[in-house]
Amino acid sequence: MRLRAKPSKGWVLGGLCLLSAALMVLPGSRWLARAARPVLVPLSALGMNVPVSVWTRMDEIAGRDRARPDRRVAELRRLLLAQQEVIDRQRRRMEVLSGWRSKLKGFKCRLIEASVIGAEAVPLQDRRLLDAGSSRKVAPGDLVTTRRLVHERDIALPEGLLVLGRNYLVGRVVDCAAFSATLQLVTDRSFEMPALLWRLVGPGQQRTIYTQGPNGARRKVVVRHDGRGPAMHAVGEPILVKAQGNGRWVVLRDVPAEYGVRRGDLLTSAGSLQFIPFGLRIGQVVRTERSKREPHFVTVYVEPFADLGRLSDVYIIQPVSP
Amino acid sequence: MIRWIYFLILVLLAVVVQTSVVPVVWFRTPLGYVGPELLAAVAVFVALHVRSRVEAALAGWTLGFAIDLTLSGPGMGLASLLYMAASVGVYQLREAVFHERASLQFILSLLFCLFVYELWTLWGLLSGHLSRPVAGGQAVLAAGLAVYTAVLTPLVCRVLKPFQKLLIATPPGRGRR
Repeated sequence: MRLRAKPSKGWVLGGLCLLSAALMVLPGSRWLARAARPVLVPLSALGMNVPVSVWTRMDEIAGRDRARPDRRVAELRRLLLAQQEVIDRQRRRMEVLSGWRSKLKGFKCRLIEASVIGAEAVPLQDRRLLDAGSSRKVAPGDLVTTRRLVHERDIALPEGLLVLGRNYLVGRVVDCAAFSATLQLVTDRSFEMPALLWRLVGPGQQRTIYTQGPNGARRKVVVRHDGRGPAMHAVGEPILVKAQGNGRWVVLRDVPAEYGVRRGDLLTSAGSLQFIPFGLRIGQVVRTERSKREPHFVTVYVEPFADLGRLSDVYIIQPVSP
Repeated sequence: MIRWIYFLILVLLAVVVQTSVVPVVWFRTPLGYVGPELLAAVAVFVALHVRSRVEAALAGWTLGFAIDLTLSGPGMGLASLLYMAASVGVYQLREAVFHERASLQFILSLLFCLFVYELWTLWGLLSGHLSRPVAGGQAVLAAGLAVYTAVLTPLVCRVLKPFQKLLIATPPGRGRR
């Protein structure tokens, strides 16, 4: 019997089919993709220079900044900055009074600068490839915060990492290789996180909210803007919601209609969670839709503040144990 | 016969362009992004020009595996199998038709992408990785991806045509179809 020195193409094909089938069923087969990343990452980073240059050039021609040229967003940003200053001032005073300052000094966070070096090959998932990985101690499943927050606030971040684009929450790390990580955007269909919805009122506006009275009964309150400045105020307690991506928007399902959520309201990460510091802006309500099944509930659609389609620089925050 | 070194370079180039440059031409819809899939267009080109079904399958598997390597989440290995099957399908279909026509490249690419990405979505649904509404949205997006890719496939074929001899060796003494 004559032995073949070289396997035929049919045998090779059969072997490859078995390999694919094994990869499909074996848990943890993603390591192969992670192993291939060191080849792909530098090349993708080179390729990414093309769209970034195109966007920059287009912005130069259009004579605009990369930030969203939305007046209301700018106004909202001014409001939030003003609010943040007030909060910071109050917090500093409290810290001095209570001696918390010395305790907070023990907490440290490391800011990891990362760039988006590509998208996934198939646009059916809203994910991006980052050029920072486990070699820089980035870990999957962790949290997202802004550079501003980390620089200006002395808040400790427990275990977990966050990824940010400019000052907005853009997503979280879901997969991590040695030199790269996969960023899941807030609009990805599998994205899900608790969040807070803030009802806002602008100058000259009023809105009706329901609050809990001292005896536990609900009462109707009409809140007006104080007129002290052009910025919008948050009114009432924020609403705890579950934010989910739907490919285009961040969607908040089954929000009680009595909250009267309306266009322009603000979505932030949930401050009640231990690992997400308060105040990370995600986006702004663009529309609400009454639920067909349950008329007492609405579905709220939120447009992310960050321009996710042109995301190029993000910051991964790594908490460092004191 | 496929010249594998050149073919692998083409695959690498296609992956890099697909993940870095192609997102520029994605457009947003109420359901999500719709964009072309360059590797599918390359697979159609190769399947239209290789000399055997096994080679078409091998090339398809390689391109699908490249897609697998760039994705995150579950389902590693699925794209390579689907690409392989779709490439064989294109190879079979080409026998019945003249393969240099742009309209044919459009149709074959459309069928290729619909086959790959609708089955991929179905797998996600059946394996429990996608909920029913998410899979529904993804199926519509996959159809958009198929149309977009099909529109660009004749262009990709035209770009690759001058490199055909570099990618696929013609055995001596055999003329072109």
